Amino acid sequence: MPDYLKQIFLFNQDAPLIFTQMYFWGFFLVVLLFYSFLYKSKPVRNTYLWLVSMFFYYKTGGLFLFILVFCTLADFYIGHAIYRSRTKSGKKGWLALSLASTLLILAFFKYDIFFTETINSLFNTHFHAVNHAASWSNIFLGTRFDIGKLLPPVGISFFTFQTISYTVDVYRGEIKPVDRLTDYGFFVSFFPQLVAGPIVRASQFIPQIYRDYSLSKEEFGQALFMILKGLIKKLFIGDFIAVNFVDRVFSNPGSYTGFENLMGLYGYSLQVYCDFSGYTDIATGLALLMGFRLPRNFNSPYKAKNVGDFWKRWHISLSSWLKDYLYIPMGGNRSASVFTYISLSLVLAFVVLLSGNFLLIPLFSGIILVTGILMYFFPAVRTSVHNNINLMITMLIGGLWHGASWMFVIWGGLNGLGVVIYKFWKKISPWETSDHWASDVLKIFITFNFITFTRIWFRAESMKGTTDLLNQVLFQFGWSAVPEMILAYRNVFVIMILGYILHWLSGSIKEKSMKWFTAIPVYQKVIVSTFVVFVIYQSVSADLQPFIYFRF
Amino acid sequence: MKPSGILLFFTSVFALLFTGAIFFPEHGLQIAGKLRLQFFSKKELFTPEANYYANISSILSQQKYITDSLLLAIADGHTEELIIPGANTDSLISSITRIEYPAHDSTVLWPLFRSLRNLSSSRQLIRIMHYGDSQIEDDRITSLLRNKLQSRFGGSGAGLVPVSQLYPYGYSMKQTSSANWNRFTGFGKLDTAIKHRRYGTLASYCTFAPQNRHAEQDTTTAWVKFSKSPHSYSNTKRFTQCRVFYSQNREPFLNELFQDNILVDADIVPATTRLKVIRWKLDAPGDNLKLTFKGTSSPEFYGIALDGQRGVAVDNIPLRGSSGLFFTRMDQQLMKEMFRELNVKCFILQFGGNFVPSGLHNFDGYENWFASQILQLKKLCPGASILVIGVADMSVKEKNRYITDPNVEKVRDALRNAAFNTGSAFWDMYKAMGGENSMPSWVFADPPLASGDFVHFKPLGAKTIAQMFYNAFILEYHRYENHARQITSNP
Repeated sequence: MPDYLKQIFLFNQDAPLIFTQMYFWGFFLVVLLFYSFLYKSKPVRNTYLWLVSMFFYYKTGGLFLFILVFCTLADFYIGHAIYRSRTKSGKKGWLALSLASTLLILAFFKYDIFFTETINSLFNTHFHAVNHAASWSNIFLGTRFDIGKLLPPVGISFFTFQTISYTVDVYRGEIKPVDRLTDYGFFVSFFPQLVAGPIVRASQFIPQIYRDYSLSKEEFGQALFMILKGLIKKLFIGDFIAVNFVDRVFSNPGSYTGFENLMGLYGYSLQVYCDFSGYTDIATGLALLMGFRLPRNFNSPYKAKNVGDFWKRWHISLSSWLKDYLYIPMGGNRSASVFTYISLSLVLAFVVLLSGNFLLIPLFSGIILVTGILMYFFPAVRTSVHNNINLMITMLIGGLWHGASWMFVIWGGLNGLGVVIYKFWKKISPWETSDHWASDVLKIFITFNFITFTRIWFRAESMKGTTDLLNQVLFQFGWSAVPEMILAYRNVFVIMILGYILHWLSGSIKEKSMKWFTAIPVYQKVIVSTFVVFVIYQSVSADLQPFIYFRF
Repeated sequence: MKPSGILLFFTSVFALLFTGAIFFPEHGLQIAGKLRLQFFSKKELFTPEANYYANISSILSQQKYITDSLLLAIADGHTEELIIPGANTDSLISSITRIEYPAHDSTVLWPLFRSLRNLSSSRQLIRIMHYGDSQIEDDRITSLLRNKLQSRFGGSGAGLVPVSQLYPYGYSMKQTSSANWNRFTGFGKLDTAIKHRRYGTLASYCTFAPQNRHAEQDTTTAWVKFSKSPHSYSNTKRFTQCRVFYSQNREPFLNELFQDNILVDADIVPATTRLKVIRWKLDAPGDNLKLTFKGTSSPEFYGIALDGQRGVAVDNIPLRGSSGLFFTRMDQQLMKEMFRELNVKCFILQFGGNFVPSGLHNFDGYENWFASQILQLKKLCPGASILVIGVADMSVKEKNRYITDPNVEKVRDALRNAAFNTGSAFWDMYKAMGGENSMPSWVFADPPLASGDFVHFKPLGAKTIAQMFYNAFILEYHRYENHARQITSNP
């Protein structure tokens, strides 16, 4: 096969298909070309979009496509089996099968190295976590994947969560299973949101599959506006501060002053928001252009006034998924259930295995026993445990979902504590109901700083990285070099300030600019879009910030 | 709005961008001062980014096959008998970036190799000092090299370290010290208040109190504590000898040594203006070691050496921002005495990175300057071998791609010439990494091997490059040993 055809059609792990690559927009143009002929017939349209989504997935994740196809097939048929089952136990059995297979796949790819290492250290064995898919591919397709490294399939957390929501909703009787496999495949793998969300619920998306294509002029404008906004967030702000500042500070925190570490942390808070919400904006815009409405995933999260509020604004589709399929089933804020104790045991088992210290088992048992006794004798303790335990567990599982490491346990735990402490605080806070602007500013300031603080454990590359960072901020701040550092990193800091100003800007200004863009004639939209791409390119092509180590 | 309308919209934007790509100047449009506008070129539009960078996958994958027995076989010239499952022997051999010698004189490092070989029969402690810039901070590169050499030739401990570190030194050993230490450096921007040049072999010294106070004035206490690091190699943790290098104490001071928080020794150290060494032999290293100093006026502390009683010690001496041009500027007598006391047999000099972004185009001056440093070292420490490690690849941006800074090869050549002109050996780190445009491949490797500044290695990358250097080093050692064996068996 000629090289250029290989480049177009074959998977290359160094060049995944992502929205920020020129190749993606070429791909999208081709998708649109055929779409403009096929969009009128719903079954044809859905099948077409499923097929191009599979191609998109293959270009991004290679042969992990088979995992996606497996999940799709399994849950499509299980969904029907649940629906057809007459008995409650039959329905339960099928649901259990669906959950077990999906969660096993998720666990296999996300925690394999952790489990292998744990088994090796416990039983003195020498197993290696081997990427079987990669070794299969190396043998039969001549690829050269590293089989010692098990990268999880791209977007596995997103599509597995979608299939779980589907089978659970069918089980609960909230939706009817989809008739055609192609329609279901399309729901699971629609390419704009396949690899990075938002997580789409069957109940929101499936009805759209059966609707005719429609897109008003306003929606067209809004979709383009979202895409341009997303590209600016991701490339102009996120990538620029990551490449020129944040990444290097986090790769060697001990080599930078406390000031640089602190700025790196604030930079990361902005970067992670710009990256993630920017990507979601693009996904939402793309989906809308093809006539599909995705749920809102971010709602100015750094305007949150408490930690709970933050989680209602950040990655909303994941938070609400965890709420509906984990937190509420465990009993929510009312009481602990059997499911609570199963989840608690799972989390504690993870922590014990992470530490490799079995002395924690009697310790945990002791704590649980004492808490149990206190709960028995003191109703107030019982109520507060019941009100908060599910929340803490949800946050801890949310942390572990990001990976099996202490750092994610700490990150999840801190966020859980943040929400719980706020729940107690709001009962006694004299400012809770105040609508004075100063009180709002203070609440936003505290919440933002707390969330940024917890990100140390989310972003640092190792536990040593977290202690180095804290050590530098507390003891090696480098006050004397601050003016010099601000001057040296002025470009990065200007972009950071600009990013935060844009974020905290009043919603009405953003609204107005979107209205303006929507209202202008199409030819002007063409010019504005080209101009925005040109401006973004200036940031992408800007000289690399030279490395400077300040002496302090 | 129909999909065809959307298609038309995107096609128009693409057409405009493409037209721009055709007509926009390839190297951008200069507007006001440094501000330059850039735009896509046609080539960029159609070539994926990864294709621009050096392919390092074979370099990295071959590392795991290069073992001591392979290196022995290469040294013996018996590679034809080797069968390595899963790898091609010839390509493995060619993947080792060899140490280069002036006029191909491969005996340049033999004095060092002889000292190393003699360690099996002598009870000496010999020393290799690894000087470098920020690339080797926190014992990056040196730590692996030290562990390999100590495992092979004996020896233990982290080597010579300053009393107070610039950064949270924690990879090989956790070092903490009281906040009242002042650190003065003999490289970079010098403190103009310091009128002498006594900086010692670490190019920096520390004090804990003013140096001109008298006995009747207040006393100050300072401490430094070393504890085991969970990241460290076991050899590094097991030091059995502690030496403190100091001079210039106008007044006596009290010195105490605590091992695992138990006082094991205390002494009043008399006043002196000469280089002195306080030394302790330790039976077992313990979990932590704490030294306290109490006095009215502070001596100049040039370093603390934590070593074994015999074998090889390898020091990590990172000098942030330095280009390695400070040796001639420092007090020569003090350097000489310290080198002698430390029994230095080799200097590894790894600089140049700070000269790459200097804005210069000609590096003849740097070459001569660097050569003069080597000559000075040879004078100060006669008989020591010198090995220069060239710069690593460093990237600058050209539009949206990372390319090798055009000065990297020039600085590499200047360092090589300086080494060869002074009869020293040279190892080309840039070539070992994969040469041109290899840094982005190290940065984008999974897991990443270099930092996002496209200059420094990450710990894993530092280990990789250190292993490559060790392979090259030990291959030369095997060749020497082979030769020495033949001479002994056929006198």
